This record gives sequence, C-alpha cells and structure tokens, in this order.
Amino acid sequence: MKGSPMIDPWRATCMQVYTHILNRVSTREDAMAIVNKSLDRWTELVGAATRRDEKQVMLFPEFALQGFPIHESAEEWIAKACFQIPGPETERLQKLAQDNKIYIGANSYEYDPEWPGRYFNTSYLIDDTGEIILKYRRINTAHSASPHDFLDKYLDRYGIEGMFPVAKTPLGNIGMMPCGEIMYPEAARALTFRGAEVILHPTSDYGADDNWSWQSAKKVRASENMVYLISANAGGMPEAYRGINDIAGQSRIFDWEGRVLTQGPSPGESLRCSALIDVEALRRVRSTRGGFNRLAQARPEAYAALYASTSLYPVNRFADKPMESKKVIRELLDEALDNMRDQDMLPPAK
Amino acid sequence: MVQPWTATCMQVYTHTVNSATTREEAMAIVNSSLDRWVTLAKGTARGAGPYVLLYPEFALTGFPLLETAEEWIEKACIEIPGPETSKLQKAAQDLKCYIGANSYEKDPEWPGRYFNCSYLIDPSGDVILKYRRINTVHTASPHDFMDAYLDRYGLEGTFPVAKTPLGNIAMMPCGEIMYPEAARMFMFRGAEVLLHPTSDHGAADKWGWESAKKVRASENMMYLISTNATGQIGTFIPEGQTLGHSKIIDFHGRILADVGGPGESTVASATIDVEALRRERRIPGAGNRLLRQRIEMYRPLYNQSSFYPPNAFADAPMDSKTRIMELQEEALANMVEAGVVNLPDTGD
Repeated sequence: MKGSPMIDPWRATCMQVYTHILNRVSTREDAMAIVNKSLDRWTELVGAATRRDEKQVMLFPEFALQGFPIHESAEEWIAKACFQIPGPETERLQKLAQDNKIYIGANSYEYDPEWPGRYFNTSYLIDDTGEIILKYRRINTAHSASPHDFLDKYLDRYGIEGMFPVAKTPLGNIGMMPCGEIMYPEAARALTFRGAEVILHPTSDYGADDNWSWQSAKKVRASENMVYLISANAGGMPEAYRGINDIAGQSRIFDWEGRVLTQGPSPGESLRCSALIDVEALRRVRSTRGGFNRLAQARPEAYAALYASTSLYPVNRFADKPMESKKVIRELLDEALDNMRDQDMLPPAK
Repeated sequence: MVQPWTATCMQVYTHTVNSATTREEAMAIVNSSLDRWVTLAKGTARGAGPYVLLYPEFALTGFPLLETAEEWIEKACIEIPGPETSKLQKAAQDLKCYIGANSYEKDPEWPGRYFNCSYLIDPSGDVILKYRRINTVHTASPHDFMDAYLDRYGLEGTFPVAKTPLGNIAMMPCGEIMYPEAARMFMFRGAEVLLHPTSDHGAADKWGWESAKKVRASENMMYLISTNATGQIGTFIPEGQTLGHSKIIDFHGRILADVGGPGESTVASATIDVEALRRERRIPGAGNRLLRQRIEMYRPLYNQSSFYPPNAFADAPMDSKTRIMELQEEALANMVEAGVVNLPDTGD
C-alpha cells in the first residue's frame, strides 16, 4: 500500500489565557466590549507565539471569550453572549490565522439561526487561509442542552460525519473535543473511529490536581486511541464568582503513548506549553503490527450490542422545543437516576 | 445495607510452566503455587471480614510462548471449576472469604479452544462468575467466534456481573484496561466493583497504563482492585517486566492502597465501602459521570465500526498464535480503508 504525503513536524501551542466572563454584564454591547478586549490580548499573544519558520496550530481554552451561563436563561445567554460561527467575533480570529498563516483552534458558545432558541458549546478550527474548517458541538454537557437532546433531528441534518467531524488537513487528521468530554471515553473514541490523529482539547478545568483522575484521563485518551492530545486550559477566571483559580492552567500536550511532551504553569497566562507534533511518527506506530498497537487490536463489535441496549440520560428531550432554562436539567438527571435503577445499576429507591 | 469489607491484593510470583514438557510436570508447578497461595490466604483473611482476595492474571502458569494451542491446552489449561481450582474453592470455604483469580481455561464444550478466564469463588466455595477475556494480545478471544458465543451465553454471560452481599462484582484482566469499552460494559451491567487481575509493567506509567486504572475507576464510578504479579519466573522474558505495585482505587480514581514495589506482598489492602459509592452515584449534578452519559449518540459509530475481523475462528479454533499477525494485517488494512490509519510516507 502506498503511503500518504509526508507531513513535516509542526508546532502546537496552548494559548493559556485568562477567561473574562460575561455574567456580570447584562447587555450584549457590554458583553461584546469584554469579548473584544480579550481578542485584543489574544492578538498580541498570537503575534508573540508566531514563528516564521514553522507550521503552527494555536489552541485557546474552552469558552475563553465568554465564560459559561450561570444565572442566565437560554434566551438571555443567546442574546447577550453567543456568537455565530463564523461571525463578527470569529472574524478577528480568522484574520489572525490568515495574517500569521497559522491554524487557530478555539471554543465558544454558539448561536445558529438554523436552530432558533438553542445554543451550543462549539469547538472550531480555523485554517491558515482564515476559513473555519471544523465545527464540533459538545455532546456530554455539564449543565446545558446538547445535540443529544434532539439527536434524531441533528443526526438527520449532519450525519455521523457532521456530528463527529474530523478535518483532513496538510497537518494530519484533526478532531476537537472540549473539557469534561475527557471523562467520557466514547467521545475521543468516536473521533478516532472517524480517523483523528490529533485531538485538540480546549478546556476549562482544575488543571492543577488529579481530581476525578481528570488529568490522568487526558493521558489515557491519548494512549488508548494512539492520538496526539493538545489540551489548552484557561489560566484562571479573574471575575469568577467562585475561586478565581478553580480553573488553574497547566495546559499539556501528550503524544500517542500518553507521554507529557510539555506543560504550562499553574495558574496564569502563559505560552510556554508548546511542542512539535510528528504525525509521521504516529502513522509509523499505528501501521506496525504487534501487541502494543491498541487500535489494530480493538474489537468494537463485541460492545455494540450493549451500547445499543443501554440508556441512561434521556434522549431527544428537547426535540420539539429548546431548553428554556438549566433548571430542567435537574429533572432529566433524576430520570437518568431512575433509568439506572431500572437497569440494575443502583439498588431500587427506598 | 452493604457492610464495608476488605479487599486484599495477593501479589505473588508467577511460576511459569513453559519449560515443563508434560502436563504432570506443569501441574506439579501449579500445585506448588497453589499451596503457597493457600498459605498466604490463611495469613491474610483472619482479621475483620468479609474479605475479597484477588490473585494476579494467569499467575499459576504464565502465558503460552512457543506452544501451539493444542500443546498449551494439553499442558497448561485447567477446567474451571476443576481439580486445580478446588484447592482455592476449599480455601474460600474454610476462610469464609471470596477469592478472585485468573487462569487459562479449557472447556470441553469448546474443543480446541482455550480462554483467558477470570473467576470469582464465593465463601461457600462455588465459582459464581467466569469472564473470558475479549481484548487478547496474542491469543484467540470470544470475539473470534462471537456469534456462536453470544448465542450460547447472551450478554449476561459474555459480560457477567455477580450480585453478591458485598455489592455487584465484575472482573476484567490486564490489558483490557487500555480498552475503555471493556470496563464500560460492566458498568452498564451494574458493576460497582471491578476486580482486575493483571500481569503488567506495574512500575512505570508506560502507555498511561497505571493512569488507565485510575481513569476506569473514575469514569465508571466504581472501585477497582488491581492485583499484579511480581515477576514471571522461568522463561526467556526478564522477571522484572512484571513489577507488582498492586493497587486499590476508589470511585473517584483515588489510590487507597498500593504495594509500592515488587515482591510477594499483601500490603495493598483497603476497606471497600459500597454504600458510599451508591450514595455518590445517586447524587444528581455535574459530578455524577454516570447520569450524564448520552450513550445513544455513539451507537451509530459503534454499529458501523469494524476493523479487527470478528468471527475469524468461527469454524475452526486458532491453531497457532502466528495466525494473529495475519488478522492484525487485515485489521490494519480495514483501518486504512476506513481512513483511521494513514500509512506513513515511505518515499515509494
């Protein structure tokens, strides 16, 4: 079999920035002033990180231009904080990518006129011509609606390719997946089954410690799927209601064996987490037979039946109309709990 | 209410049978190991119980190296239950404890095949759970005759979970830790405690293998009890490839006990509180990883993804491990075709 065209090693940089949240302002105008101020800083940092002699991917953290909805209803959050992607706010990032001839990965709360009343946690990749070449909407949300809440329609509209997009680029095959999806092995698995060689992981997590084995999970996703994992965490949330450093940096880059290639400081703004990504080396290992080739030995058919017969969080619950407020999620979690009892994962309620 | 109980990792040496030429010689080695195991069990299960004692993966024999399937079955495989496990069954009965172990199994129902089988013995001495490894490294697996296997055992028998007075217990050996679907299945089937008999590096975090133990426990919110062997004695493989560090991990991935090194040891021992786990699983909120699983989203991809050929030994058992390399070639070709693996540029 003939090989794919050679890919020279390229540089990945985690843009570990502060997240300036929008929860403390009430109008879109005030909110966009904060967004644009952040983008001014991002522009400076991209300039500082750009190297003329290397192909580069720069990854910003999860929802780092907005924060996440707290007291806002869905309608309020969409009106005040959400972007269209592409749209006026991402245009600045697109121009940055074009001007500096780099790829930029980011994540923002998105509003899409095709789905009125809904918002998405969207990870997106801009190529070195300024085009948005990938958009992935988070499925395992912590306390927001997700494409799973109207799965049938979503799948019908985008297909498997659009639900789990992988961009085939001159740098290799790139997928994206944010933050807490790291705790759900199926998320990275799906991108791997779709061909991802590099997973960009914009995140907004503790960073510093291994609570819930969250940091270990980054390592393990990289190794079990034999992918590079580039995980850019925010350096802090200076205006947060909770601890400013509950989000505490330590962005990391892992190779396909789960080795840490580099890591940023904790907490704080930093561009130190930067490493060369060698997709050819990964391809060589993936295409070698042996006991260590985790992918070549995977037997997904053995599991399809139980995936098909198990259901926990109720599906298609916002199919007819969007989620109005995060409060409804609590009821759905109670239902999930009942489902666990029904499927013998918990003892019956007393 | 499930009372707290004690789990102990029985970190022992694996005295291999590869150099033995007859079954008689091999079983002499097995029985000598079993005597030592029972001595260690007696020394361990004598405090406040109940106890679950877990021995490492294939620690009575080692694994087939140069042997053909026929030779390995003849020389080293045991029936479960059978004459060899009866020593462990009697120990469980005498000590009123649970004993988990893993052995290469032959089953008259499947002539010509052998299994990497994890099994659990209850305090009455019965074998109450048998799980046959699916993600094998270089041997055949139930996936190699999956249709016939599922037909015979169903999902319940393929992914067994024992409902015991200590909670719901499942087993999964060694390298299956690197396949997230394996532990996932047991969680789907109700497991609260996963026994992980292993024979792995132990010491370093190569491939994120040690991290994977923590992550399986946390992502599935289950206890994980992982007993590693300390050295495989008597083969051309260096003894230090298997270096102990048995450990017990809670449902948030926290390490409760760790031998911390190689050597025969029962130091990794901890209290398992299944009621605490049930409480955590019942709390709705962002911290509950189980409740928020949106499984349906992934079904289409699991339904259509196929790389390593299933049912490859449906008609006849695998005769020799050399066949596995051919199957991996096929898996790779399937992955290249699916765009999952891109071949490197070889300059051709």
